[in-house]
Amino acid sequence: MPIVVENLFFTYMKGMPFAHIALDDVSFRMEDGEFMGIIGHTGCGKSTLIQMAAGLLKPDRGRVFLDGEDINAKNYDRKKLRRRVGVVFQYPEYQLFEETVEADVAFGPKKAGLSEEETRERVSWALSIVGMDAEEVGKLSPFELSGGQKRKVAIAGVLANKPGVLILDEPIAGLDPAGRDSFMNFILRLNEMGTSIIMISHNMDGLAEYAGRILVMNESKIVMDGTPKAVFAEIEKLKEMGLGASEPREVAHMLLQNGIGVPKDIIRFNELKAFILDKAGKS
Amino acid sequence: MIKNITLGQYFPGESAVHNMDPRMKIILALALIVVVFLVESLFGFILLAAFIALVTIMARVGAASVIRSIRPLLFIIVFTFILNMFFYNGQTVLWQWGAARLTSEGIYRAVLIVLRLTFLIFSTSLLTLTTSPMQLTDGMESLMKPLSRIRFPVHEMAMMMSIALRFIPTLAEETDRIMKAQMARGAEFDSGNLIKKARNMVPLLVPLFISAFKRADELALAMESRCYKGGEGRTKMKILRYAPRDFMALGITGALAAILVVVF
Amino acid sequence: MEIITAENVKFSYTTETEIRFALNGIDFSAQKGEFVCILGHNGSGKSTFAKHINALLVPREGKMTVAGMDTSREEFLWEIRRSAGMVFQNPDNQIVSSVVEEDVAFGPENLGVPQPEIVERVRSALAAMEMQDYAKRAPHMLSGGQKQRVAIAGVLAMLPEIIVFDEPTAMLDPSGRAEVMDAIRDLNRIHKKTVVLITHYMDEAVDADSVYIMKDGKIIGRGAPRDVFRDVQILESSGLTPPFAVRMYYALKEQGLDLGDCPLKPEELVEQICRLL
Repeated sequence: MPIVVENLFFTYMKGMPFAHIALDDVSFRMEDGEFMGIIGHTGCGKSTLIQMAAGLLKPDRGRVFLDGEDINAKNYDRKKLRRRVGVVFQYPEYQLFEETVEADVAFGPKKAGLSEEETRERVSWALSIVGMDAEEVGKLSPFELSGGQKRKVAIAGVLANKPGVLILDEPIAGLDPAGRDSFMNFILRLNEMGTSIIMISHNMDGLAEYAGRILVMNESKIVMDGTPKAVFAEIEKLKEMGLGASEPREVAHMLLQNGIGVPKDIIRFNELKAFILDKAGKS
Repeated sequence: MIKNITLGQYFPGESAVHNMDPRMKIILALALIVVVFLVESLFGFILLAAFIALVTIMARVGAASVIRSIRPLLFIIVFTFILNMFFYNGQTVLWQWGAARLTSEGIYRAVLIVLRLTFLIFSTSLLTLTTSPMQLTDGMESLMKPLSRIRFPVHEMAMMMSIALRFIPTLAEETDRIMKAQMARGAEFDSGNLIKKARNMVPLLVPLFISAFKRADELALAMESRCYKGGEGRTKMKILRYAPRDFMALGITGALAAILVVVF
Repeated sequence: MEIITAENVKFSYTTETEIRFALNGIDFSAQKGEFVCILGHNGSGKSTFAKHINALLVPREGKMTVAGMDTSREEFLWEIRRSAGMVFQNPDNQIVSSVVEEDVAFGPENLGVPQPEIVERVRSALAAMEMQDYAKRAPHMLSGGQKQRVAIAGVLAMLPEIIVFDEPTAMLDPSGRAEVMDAIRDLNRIHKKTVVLITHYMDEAVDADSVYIMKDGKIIGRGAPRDVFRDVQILESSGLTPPFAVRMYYALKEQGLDLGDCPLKPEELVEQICRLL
């Protein structure tokens, strides 16, 4: 079991007038190979939660376990954590800094202590996974690339450590529709190859298609935890929290309110299409 | 959450001191500093201390914040004290050890200097505790306006200060984000000797600078889109106006200054 | 009455190695009071075109006329920028001051508007954007949607006839996006501003009076939303995804189920399905 998070509490600016409770007794257990989405209004604590899971922030109370070990324990080897868990933040292209693409992608492996040979292999591999050719772009400056290419290089930099768990914070922010689709497909492929995925997203349609599980956070707590079908079925609750469901589910809900008996577990485009065709006798 | 920092020492409030015109506060703070360096006698310092205490109470910022402001400079003050006490060329030697000579003049000088530095810091603190950075910028811009006649770029400097103030919390947030992103890749920002630490800052500083330049570019476009063309012909929404309380403060401080300098 | 016209506008960014035509012969027009939407993938040239409307960029070839003024004439520069305000994509990088009302005052201050009038314009602009309660706040404490509303207020305070929005929602979360789109609709319907919205989200175009599709520096489609969205192939070839209602309409049609007129919004889709079933 890769990540287990137990009773996390965290407050920003403790003791000051602007103190803000970000996490209020948050727990979850993640299974190997899961594709888990996290949704919630801005400020509900989701970014704080993933930073805790990635060992970038220490909780005030509570524990975080990676492969059974407490990552905040005194003698825990942080390098293990960095190799095992990769994090892609929003607009990851803003973290590029090296003189060449290959140097930037090599940063992670180098810090993890890999040899020159191994590092070079990893760089090639990581770039090819994101659809780029190390021969072609390796020696270019990352800043000469287009926005989309920069993002791919940044992600390659995170993947170069071959993390078993990949955490992403709103990774499709700023991408146009074609970009969004190809990215979600890419993440799905990674998941199919064995990488566990935790993704914060507002893209409900994407989560409905690809995620196996969704955590819903509201005001520093986890309030729902289940399959996309189970979560999106509770559309009224989601609306109360200022969230929505996938578009097919939203339309299905409107149809339901107009007297058409659409089942609550229709959350995907093709499911809704099939239902309508069936109802109209055309399937 | 990093963006919630209150910049510098500003302690928000609505006291009479807070509501004074920033220009008057700057002028009076400067006057106070001059007086601090002219006063010679102990009684003069006691009067000064009483005045500063009075202003602190009126400002409702708490004695703790004023006193705490010494902390960053404590080392320098103690160092200066010791230096003056043991190395001043005085006549009445009390004790000697090699080049160090403890003289009664030395002790007197040391105490004087420490008192002066302390009151200097207190006066400045009272200014920064009761005046927001933005108000300070506006006050200084207004006071320096006459300098624009000799081509001193007053407007440009005020604009730079004001934009810098605006972006500090935003850049602080960005620094945190970049640090976390690089830490997630294995970067370490707190280990190693000085040289190593400097090298380790590259993954933080390069992206930060690049992003700052990008921001500057975008901001410039936005400013031009809103017809910014420099200081020529600009009007201002906020107008600083002296109020009776400012003149009262001027009067009281002026009288005190005169007494202190002439009598003490 | 046409308030913006582009006649065969061409523009290139030159680097040492290449000349790339970001705009390759654009013909465009917007009527006074219209809500025009320009859709295109990243790199289609739409932002470059947006910058031509307020003369941040000037055509290499062709002519750009805004509110009756030729944008290549220097003497019109500031009046053009006053008449055509622009709101950018990054909410942070267009706010100049550390106090909301002072930022909104920035534009009028630059125009040399007398002080009492600035105060009134700021008050009115903030009220129009429902941000009057935030007048004394620091911008960095606001949400993305609120920051954009402050930016819009800052433009409004200059009393423009046209407001250009360059991907204003790209960096916002869904609630911020809704806030800004509501504000844009109000600006067009209530405040009678000519609105030009640049975006890659097709569902933001459904309320527009006319839509232009851009690809690789050219306009490959124009017309009312309903007409333009009909050609799903053109849309997909330009990297755009039609709104949900449109996609469902065509998916059903493909399987032999005809809903009649193509709906643009989910509500319309629901209505048509209900009628059928």
